[in-house]
This record gives sequence, structure tokens and C-alpha cells, in this order.
Amino acid sequence: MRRRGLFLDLLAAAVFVGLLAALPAALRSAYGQASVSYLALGIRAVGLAVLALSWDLVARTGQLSLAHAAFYGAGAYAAAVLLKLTGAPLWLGVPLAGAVAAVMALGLGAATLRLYGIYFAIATLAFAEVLKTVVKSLPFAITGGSVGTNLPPLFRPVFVAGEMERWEVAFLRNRGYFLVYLGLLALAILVSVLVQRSRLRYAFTAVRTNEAVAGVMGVNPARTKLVAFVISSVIVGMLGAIEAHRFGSVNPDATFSVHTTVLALVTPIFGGLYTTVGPILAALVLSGVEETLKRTLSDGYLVAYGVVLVVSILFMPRGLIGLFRRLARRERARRAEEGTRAEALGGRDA
Amino acid sequence: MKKLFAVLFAAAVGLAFAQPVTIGILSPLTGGAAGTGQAQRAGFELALKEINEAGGVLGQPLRIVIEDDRADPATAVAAFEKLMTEDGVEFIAGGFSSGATLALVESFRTFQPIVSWIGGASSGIGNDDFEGIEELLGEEEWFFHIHPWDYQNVEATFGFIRDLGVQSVAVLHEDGAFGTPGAAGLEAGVEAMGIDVALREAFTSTLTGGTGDFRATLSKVGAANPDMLYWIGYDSDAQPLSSQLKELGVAPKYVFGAPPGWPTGIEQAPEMECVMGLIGYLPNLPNPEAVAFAEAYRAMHGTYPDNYMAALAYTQLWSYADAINAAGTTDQAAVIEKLKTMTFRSPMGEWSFKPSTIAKHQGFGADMWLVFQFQNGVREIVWPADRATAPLAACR
Repeated sequence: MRRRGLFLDLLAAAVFVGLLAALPAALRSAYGQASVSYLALGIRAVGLAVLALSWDLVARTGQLSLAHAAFYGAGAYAAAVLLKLTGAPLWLGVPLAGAVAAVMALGLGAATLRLYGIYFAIATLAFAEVLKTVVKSLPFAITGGSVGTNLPPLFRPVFVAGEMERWEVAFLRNRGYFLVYLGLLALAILVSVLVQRSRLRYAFTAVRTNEAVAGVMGVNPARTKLVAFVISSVIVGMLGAIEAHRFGSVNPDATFSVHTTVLALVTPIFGGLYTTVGPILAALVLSGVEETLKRTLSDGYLVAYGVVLVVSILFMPRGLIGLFRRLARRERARRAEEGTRAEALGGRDA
Repeated sequence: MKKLFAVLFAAAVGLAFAQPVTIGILSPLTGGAAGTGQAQRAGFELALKEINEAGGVLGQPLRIVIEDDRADPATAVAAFEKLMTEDGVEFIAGGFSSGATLALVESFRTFQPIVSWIGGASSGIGNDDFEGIEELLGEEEWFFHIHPWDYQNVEATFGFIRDLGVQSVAVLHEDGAFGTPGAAGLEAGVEAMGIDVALREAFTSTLTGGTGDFRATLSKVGAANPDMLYWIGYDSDAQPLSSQLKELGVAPKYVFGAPPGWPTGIEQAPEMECVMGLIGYLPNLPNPEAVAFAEAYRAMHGTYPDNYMAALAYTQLWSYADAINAAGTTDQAAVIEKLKTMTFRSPMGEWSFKPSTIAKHQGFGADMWLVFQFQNGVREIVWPADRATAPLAACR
């Protein structure tokens, strides 16, 4: 039963990722040069989905981690420093970023995962500040100090006059980044589904619900939380590296910005915690809502966006997924009631 | 006669079907730099009104499309690509954050519209490990940079300090990409002038998570007893730092602040009395263009401009309008030629694009900067002497 469920989940994920992979071509044929900017929005939405889903993995163990900016920044700087010191191939920086973030998560997790609730949150929040200070303090030749350092783009399609339009070059670059981001999202979905369909899910849920009871049942809470923490950090570390290449530079204040952490935790809360679909759905919906508001309400669109977010969370405490489940339950109850009534009527007719 | 009629008819038809020229603008209308972005927008709106009242561009009303870039790389790239592909603009204006500008470099290179930029002062010159905007874009024929580069800002400061004749300076700076290189450059330049750097200390700006408590650092300044305190930080640091100076009784002869902008209405705060700063434009400049701009701005927006970015944005849009009208076409090569060769008017006086260290087309240089001093709730210009509206007052 569990294997069948896992297969169906992976099939659904493959279909979803496959549909998204077809998006660039579909946008290009439908919108021509405007597909460039739609694809840029797509990149942002998929990036947000990666951020949200990776944060949700830690949340499943009941931990309020505020370390996402730290792992994102660590990944970005790992790629930058590798390039600066060794001139290694660009793509090597991305897996290395994941590895560096994992090592940092191991260290931070070992030190902090015995803390609970707000104490853990504060410790992880402080970690980003610590890393920022370290990066600023290291020799200029390594990290670029307070100024930061440049990185080349992962994709640099060449414009050939007479053979293509300039917008097509931008399209090729955006398509490249979109597919890389999508690959990272596919990895995050795979990890999330495997966790949900394995014994890890019970361990995560047990630790989240009651650590003492989980311990009695043979689950090691510290190790369980550490596993979630490390997996999450690998994904977000790689995202940091890819974005560093995409934006051409890293600098301590921007790369370790708390804004990254805020985005990472607000999105899955809006979508529905402890699920694979919730954070992804929320990222797509929120990105769409924000862009729509920006285009229709050029003044005060962020206020409207904030209101949408607050009202949604107030009226949907379990997020979008919770809302869908509630609607589905109502529908089932209505059908059951209709069935009962029909049976009763049928009985009377008889 | 028939030929003349045909030509006139064709011209009339052409005008009837001519598309209005559209200029795409990137400004940080929200986020941490929103104050500057809104000032830019106010300047653009005033210029647009005046340009269209004067007949527009190529006989059509000029259009602008302003996109909010939030001073954020991801937002800036998406906004620029929207302007180029959905709005179909051929001319780009605006700009503020160096970080966002660096993220735009690849996209700029791809589309190669004419980019006229009033932000991104980070040149990269003097830093072997970091390529700044002047190094990356300066040699491009289609890139025009109006705001002075970082080293030109420092050059203006050195001129002022030299004229001031101080013996010692304490340098406080925020510990980020803005303050640290600025302080290093300042320290080197000041020492080269034979002036003693009594103290150099970093702080975390309130903008980047600092507490706003500068007392420990300021106590060190008191102990060092310099002639001048020079601080490099952000707008939000100005008031706490100045009030804590007063609170601790630390009173250097001169206090100079170098944030990228000053909070609106801060001149009314008593603790700001005698603090000095660098600014590109003030409404009390005596030249006729400055007065006209200040009055027109007040008529449109209800207040006098208090952020020099409003004047730069106004200047930028007018330079585009004048160049395109002079070219008589939107053809890129023709407009570039006019931008390169024309002299433009501005609230800061006449200006034109000239080469800088690397850039082919640099608008303003060190000579744009003025030093002002808060005196009795007003920003008085105290340097350079030929544009001063009041004599410099020492704080003690």
C-alpha cells in the first residue's frame, strides 16, 4: 500500500515537473517576446517554491528554524569562493554549495537542536548574523569582505545578428535558469515525497508532537531533527549558489538577508504546513497574486499583498491545503447526507 | 508642387500614425530605498509634465512606464525584462542600488537599449577583487551614467576637508558594502593630505540590523578628540548618532555625515544643528534653473524637493527628451550621438556627458556635490564658496 502510494506520488510529481518543463516552449509560442518576462516571473515562483518546501522539511520535526538565510548565504559564498580561489568549473560550485551548507547544518544542528521553540529560533537567527560577520572579517582576497565579489552567469547565450532577435537570447538564458531551478524543485519534491512515504514521516511527526513519547517509542529526536535540518540546508544552499551566479555578485548584507528567511517560512504557512503540495501551491499563488497586484495597483500593491496574506492566514489557519480538505470533507458529508436521504425516501417508496 | 504635396501628405500621415516615445524607468518605489525611489518618481513626473507641455517628443506626448525594482536584484531583472519585452521600450532610465544594477548587467548586454542611469555609483576602481559597474558597463556605447562614481564622491569630500584645514579626523562607518570601502578610501586620502586619522571604527547600521546605540563608539571618538567626525552610514543612522553625540557631550569641531540621503524633515531636529553633509542639489541654490525647478516641484507636489535624486531624475528625463528631439528620430545611433555631443540644462547647471576613468559617457562628477550644514532648521550651502548660502559654523 505504501509502495503504491509512493509510486502514485512520484508519478504525480513527475507529471507536474514535466508540465512545468514544457512551460518555456508554451510561453514562447503563445506570447513571443513577452515570454521572456513571464519566464522571469516563473523563475521567481519556482525559486520561492524551493525555498518554501525546504523550510517545510524542518518544520515537520516541529522546529521553527530561522537559519535559511544562513544556509542560502553559505551556499552562495561557497560557490563564489570556490570560483575565486580555484577557478573550478562553474557547475561544480552548485553541489559544493549544498555540501558546505550541509556541513554547517550539521555543526549548527548538533549545537542547537536540543533547544526548544523560541530558543532554537533565536539561535538559528543569530547564525546568519555570525556568518555575515565571519564573511566580512575573512581576508578580502577570499570573500571580498564587506563589498563582496562577482560571479559569472551560468548561462550566457551569444547573440548572432541576423539569426535571432535580442529577446531570444534573453529567452534562452531565462529558460536555462528556469530549468535549473525546476531541477532543484524536482529534487526538493523527491526528498519531500520520500520522507512522507517512509518511516521518517512517523519519526518527524512523533518528534513534532511529543519528543518524550517519541523517545520512548525508539525514535531519536536529536538525530531525526538533524536529518531534517541537513536535508533542508543542502537544497537551500544550492539555491543560494544558483542565484549568486544569476545575479552576478554576492555581498554579506544582501546575501544573508533575513528577508530570505521570512519568505521561506511565510510561504508554507500560507500553503499548508507539513505537506509537499502546500508550499509549492503557495509559492505559485503568492507569486501570481503579487505580480497581478503590482500590475493593477502600482501604488500600495504591497499593502494589498500584505492584507491578502494576513487575511488568508487568519481565515485559513491550515493554509490552502487545509481549505481544500475542509471543502472536500463538506462535499463528502453533503453527498453522504443526500445518499441517506435518498435511501430513506427509497425505503418509504418501498 | 505635386512632389511637395506628396511629401507634406506623407509627413502628416506619418505624424498621425507615429507611436509616442516611451521611456522605461526602474526605481525603488518600495522597500528600504523607497524614499529615494519616490523622490525619483516625483522628479520624473515633473519633467514629464513640462516636456509634454512643451510639445512632447517628436510631436507626440512622451510616455513613461515606471517599474518598482525594490532595489532588489530579482525584482529589478524581472522588471527590466518586462519593460523590454512587454512594454517595448527603447530607452531605459532610473536606477539606484549598485547590487540591483550588477544583477542587470547581463540583461542590459542582451537587449542593449540606451541605458541612462542615475544610480549604481559603485565603479569597482581601486578594488582588484571586485568588478563594479563602471568596469563592467563603462565602455559600452549605449550606457550613459549620470550620477557621479564613488571615487568622484570621495574626491569632492577631499576638496572640502582640504579647504577646512583640520588636523585630525575620526572616521565611523557602517560595516557593509557602502561604508567599508568608502571609509578605506577616505582614510587613505586624508592621510595622504597629512591629516591624522585619530580613529577608524565600524558599526552595524540600523538599516542592516544594528540597534541604533552608538554610545560606545562615540565615547571612543570623545577620547580621541578629533577636529572632525566623519561618519558613513544610512539615513536611519543620522538621528540616533547625532542625538547620542549631544547626549554624551562629544563635540568635535565639525561633524560630517555621508548617508546616501537624509530623512525628510530631519532639519527640524535640534540635535542636527551644525551637522554637515554632501548633497547634489538643494532648493536654495541661487542659480535660476535651481529656483525654477524648486518652485515647479512645489507647485506640483506641495513641498520643496529634499532629496537630490528628484533633481537628477528630472534632469535625466529632460536630457532624453532633448536628445531625441534633436535627433528627430528614435534611431539608437542618432540618439546616442546627440546624448554624447549635446549640452543639457539642469537644476544643478549646464552639463554634458564626458569620459571618466573608464566610462565613455559620464554626466556629473565631483563638481556636482555641495556641502550643506544644518543651521537653525535649514540646510545652508557652505561649500564650495562660490555657491555658499551661509558661512560655515563650527560646532564648538
